[in-house]
Parts: sequence; C-alpha cells; structure tokens
Amino acid sequence: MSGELKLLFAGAMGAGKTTAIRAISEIAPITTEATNGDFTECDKEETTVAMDYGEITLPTGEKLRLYGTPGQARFGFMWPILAAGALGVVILIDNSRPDPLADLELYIDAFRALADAGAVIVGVGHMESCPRPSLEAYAERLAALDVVVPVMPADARRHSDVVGMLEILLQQIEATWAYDEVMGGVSACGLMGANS
Amino acid sequence: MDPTKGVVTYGFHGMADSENVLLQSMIERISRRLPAPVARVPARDAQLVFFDDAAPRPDGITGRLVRVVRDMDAQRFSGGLRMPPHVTDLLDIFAEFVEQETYAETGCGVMKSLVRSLHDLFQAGGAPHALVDGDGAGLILYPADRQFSWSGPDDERLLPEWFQSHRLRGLDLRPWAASTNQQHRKRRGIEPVFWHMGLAHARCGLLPWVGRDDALKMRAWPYLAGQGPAGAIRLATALRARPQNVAALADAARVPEAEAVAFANAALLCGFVVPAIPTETYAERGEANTRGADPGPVDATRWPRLLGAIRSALGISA
Amino acid sequence: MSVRTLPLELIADLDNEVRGLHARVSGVIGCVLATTDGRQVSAVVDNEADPQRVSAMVGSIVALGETIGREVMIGRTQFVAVSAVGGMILLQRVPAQRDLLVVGTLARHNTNLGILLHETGITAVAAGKILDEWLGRDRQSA
Ligand SMILES: Nc1nc2c(ncn2[C@@H]2O[C@H](COP(=O)(O)OP(=O)(O)OP(=O)(O)O)[C@@H](O)[C@H]2O)c(=O)[nH]1
Ligand SMILES: [Mg+2]
Repeated sequence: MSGELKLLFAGAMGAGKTTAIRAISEIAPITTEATNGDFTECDKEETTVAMDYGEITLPTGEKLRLYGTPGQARFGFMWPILAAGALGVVILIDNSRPDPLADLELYIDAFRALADAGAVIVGVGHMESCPRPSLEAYAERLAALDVVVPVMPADARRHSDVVGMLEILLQQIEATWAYDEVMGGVSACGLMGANS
Repeated sequence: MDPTKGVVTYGFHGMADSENVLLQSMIERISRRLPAPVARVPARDAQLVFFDDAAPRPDGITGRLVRVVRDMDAQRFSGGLRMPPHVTDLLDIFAEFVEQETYAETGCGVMKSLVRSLHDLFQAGGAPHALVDGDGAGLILYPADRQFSWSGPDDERLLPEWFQSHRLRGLDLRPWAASTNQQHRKRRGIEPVFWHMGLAHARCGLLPWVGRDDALKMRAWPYLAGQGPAGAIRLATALRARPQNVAALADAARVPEAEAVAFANAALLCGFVVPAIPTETYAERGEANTRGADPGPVDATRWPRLLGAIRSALGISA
Repeated sequence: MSVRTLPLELIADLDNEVRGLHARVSGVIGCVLATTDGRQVSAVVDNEADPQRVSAMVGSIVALGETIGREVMIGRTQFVAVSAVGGMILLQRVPAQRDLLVVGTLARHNTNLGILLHETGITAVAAGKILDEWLGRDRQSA
C-alpha cells in the first residue's frame, strides 16, 4: 500500500464527520447513510453506517483520501479497518451530547497508537451552544489518560475550521516524523495495522 | 546594560573577521542614534553576542544571543539580524535590549514576586484574594477552585493588559471577603490569567523556579496557544514530540528564544507543561522507536515533499 | 422510529419469521434481523457469534453493497453474499415502504446457495409485510 495517503475522521455520532469531509472533498463524497432509528442517541435523520469517502488531488497528482467512520460504538469494528495506514486521525466530539468526555475517552482508546504517535487532533463541535465541558476539561481528561493531543473548538460546517484542524494535525505529524528521523531513521507512520 | 557605566557591550561569535569589522564600523556609525553608549568586547564578556546561525551554539557565553540571518527574503525576525546588515535591525536590537535591561532592573522584581505569590497561593488552594490595580479595578481569585472573576465588568480583552509593566507597580494582592452582591459574578478557569502573566514574565526570563537547562515536558495540550506568542502552536508541537529545554525548543520550533521562554512560562504556570524528570527523556525515545516498526505507507524520504503537497492542496501556508 | 419504540408484538412477529427460517432450512445456523443503522431487532444464532455485533456489520455491509452497486452503475443491489471456507452469509434489505430493516442469514458451507437466497427472500418479504402493516396501523392511529 505504499502509494496510499489517507486521513481519517472519527468521533461521536452527529459530531460532523460526514459534514467535515463534505466541506473539503473535491469530489462528491461517497456516503453510506442509513435512516437513523435512535433519536435518543442523536436527533438527526441519517447516520453513517459503513464509511464516508472523499478525495483531494495534490499538486503532485497523488490523491489524498479522506475517510469518515460511523460514530456509534457498535460500528467500532470499522474503525481499525479504516484507520489502517492512515497518516492521522481527526477525532470530532459533539459537546451537546450527554457525556462528551466519555466519548473522548472511547475514541482516544480506539486510536491510542496514533494518539501516542502524535497523529491525532481533537475538534470539539457545538461549543457555541454548549460551552461545557470546556477545553480545559478536555485537556485535563487527556492528561489523565496520559496522552497529549491537541484540542480545539471546531465547527465541521466551516471549511476554515476543518482546514485549521488539519493544519495542526500536519504540524504534529511533521514534528514526530522529524524526531523519528533524528532518532535513527525509523520509518515514519503506518501506525495502525488493520488488525491492531 | 552595565548600570554603573551605562554602557552596552557587544561581541561576535562564529562570524568572518571581515563581517565583524563591517558590523563594528556600522554600529559605531549609528552610535549617536543608539539609546546608550556601546563598546565591543570579547564574546565571552559581552552582553549582546551576534552569532552565526550556522556556527555551533557558543559555549561559555552568558550574554544575550542575536542570530545572524542570511536568508535574503527573511522578514526581520525578532531578535535576529539580517546580513548584509540592516541599520534598522541594529537600532531595534539595541533599543530592545536597553528597554529590557532597564525593565529587568526595576519591573522584574515586582513581576517575579507577583508570579511567585500567585503561584504559591494557587498551589496551596487558599482563600479568595483580590488582585487590585491603582484604579481599584481588579480580578477576584478563587485558588481552591482554580477560578477567577472580574470585579468590574467582564472583559476578556483586558487580560493581556493586566501584567504590563506600567500597571505592575500598582498591583496589590489581598485577601477578599465576598459581599452578597458580588456572589453572582461569572467565574471562569484561572488559566487565561496565568497564561498572560507567563507571557508578560518573559521579559524577565524564565519563571524563577525553572532553570534554563531544565528539560520541559508537555502534560496537556495548551489550548490557549491561540492567545500568543506567535509561534505557540509550533512550540507546543515541538515540545509534544519530545521533552527538551527552552533553547532546544526554540531551535526545534524555529522561533526566537524569547518566544520559547514566553510560551514555557505561560504553559508552566497553567500546568500544561511540567519539568521533566531526567530519565523520562530517554524513556520516551524508546517508545518513539518501537512504535514505528510497522513499515508505513509513506517512505521517509518522501514526507517533506508530501506534507508540502497536502498543505498546498488545502491552501495552508507552511 | 426508534427500536426502543418498536412494540413488543411487532418484535414478536418478526421473531417468529426469524425462527421460522432457522427451523425450515436445514443448513441455516443463524438469522439476524437488524435496523439499517445496525441495531439488533431479532436474532437466532447457533454458534458463538455475537448477534449485536453481527447486526451492526449487517447494516454496514448492506449499505456498502448498495453503495458499490450504485458506483459501478449496475442498478439496485439485491443482496450481498460472503462465502467463506466454513460457511456463508447472505445479507439483504427488507423490502418495505420504508427502508428500516436488513436481514442476514448464516449457513453451513454445504448449503445450496439458491435455496438460501430463496428462503432468505421469503423471510425478508414476510418481515417487510409485517413492518408495512404496523406502519399503516401506526399512521391510522396517529
Ligand atoms: N450548531 C452546530 N452544528 C454543527 C456543528 N458541527 C456540525 N454540526 C451539524 O451537526 C450535524 C452533523 O452531522 P453529520 O456530519 O452527519 O455527523 P456525523 O459525525 O457524520 O454523524 P454519524 O455519521 O451519524 O456518526 C450536521 O447537521 C452539521 O451541520 C457545530 O459546531 N455547531
Ligand atoms: Mg456521518
């Protein structure tokens, strides 16, 4: 898979994974939406059940592939499949859900290898209407999990917010790769195998 | 500045003799426009040392380092001198130095003791205190909850102002007893106050209880990085990648050391960054090595070009 | 509609269909009826497979099957089949006025694929009828 370049959007149901991919993909995204039958989980009409897929063409002609995961924990089996070989993961959290910090913990746990490797960023959505928990609480919860991951407010509907998250994610990835190189040319990335 | 003589001493390290001569004559030519008399001395004794970016980091030098930048397109980057020399850079460098030295003699004493009192107060989780300025405006601090509120109207934009030199002297920290009509103030996390205090403290160097050689380690993401300094995200990124001291951090993030000091102060006060225990540096290295064992999708020689391509496709300037 | 709000009698009728399929086709070792968004409605599984997890996967795979069908322009997807050394699983949507349910049938490897397809189809249609009736009644009472 040496030609593959991909970024993953993961996170809670309704946090805006599909919306974020739609905001930056240059092709009409391929989606697998099904009727949402569980309004107690999230009050919206449709939900992703397998994956979202979008693309961005790089100046080199290569394609950057954008994958979105389904959010609910029952679809957890899709997460490592989609994360295999990813350069990095954007974890989106919806601050209006009942326990967003528990959501955070669930996804950090699922993408722990990438988080430890500095290839994860957390974007918190719906902060305009639900300012709590605060970013401080997120940073503290992450510290308690013994992982340092950038957290920022992000509205997936806004192109600039999505690009802003990717900007910081790329910086993290770059810093880690540069560091690995200094540490003896260990091959960078490919941090999560399909079976991890 | 040597307060007894009022002379600023400067020297050179790692530069060609011809350049030293050129710079010295230029400095002498503009000496009337400088804020203080200047004198060239050996680098080891100088207060300001111009040094070549390419040369190894000079040992045994205690003065402030000024990098010489040879990139023709470089914007004046604070603390640096573009070569061939720009008169404006030299004027700025000396003016900034004198201003900071003057401040260090007067304002830094106040600043340092304020930072220490606030830090201790919050460490101890003591009773509420008010931090009041000369005009009676103030912050109410709740150490036990790590919170603060404004005693007057809320104004987040005023925070950076609070710890500026002209206000410092008037600041007074005293116990505060809640009166009933003040119970309903909106409280918020203390971190923004600490962040701006840390930034302001940069003119007096690192926090008093942190050494220049201490390795620092990131504990939690400094989500206030957007409030400055300019290179804060880059600094956070570099420190996240590995524990290091401020000088190494400034190098890794490619920012002036003063910016790294400001960031470190702010992040230390907020608890985002903590001093690293020496062995940790090595432990983390081992970790970074093992996790890369899985051969990845991108070959390591390809990544700088690749990240550049992704950035340009997204419209991000590096 | 939420599964939590599915009336017990409806679930009981769907259970009957699922158990019926399991009983009448000898090679069938499991049958799962799930919502399109992957929540279990009714299941019988003879082996160790976890019906909750299988329900989520049935939802994903039916959606992926339909997505690839559209992508390669071969029209509406009818079913998705997975054939493995130890057996096979057939997945399809339950035809009804609203796309709310999917069904997956797990069978031993020596089961005749034609029969399995036919029987799964019958169960899907029956489940669809039950659902439509319920939707109709629900609308009238509303
Ligand atoms: N008010 C507000 N709405 C947001 C924000 N971010 C996303 N949304 C909206 O929230 C909804 C998110 O929907 P999706 O993009 O389908 O969410 P998803 O993460 O793909 O959800 P699943 O696929 O169900 O897991 C959309 O209607 C967005 O417009 C935000 O920051 N504020
Ligand atoms: Mg989605």
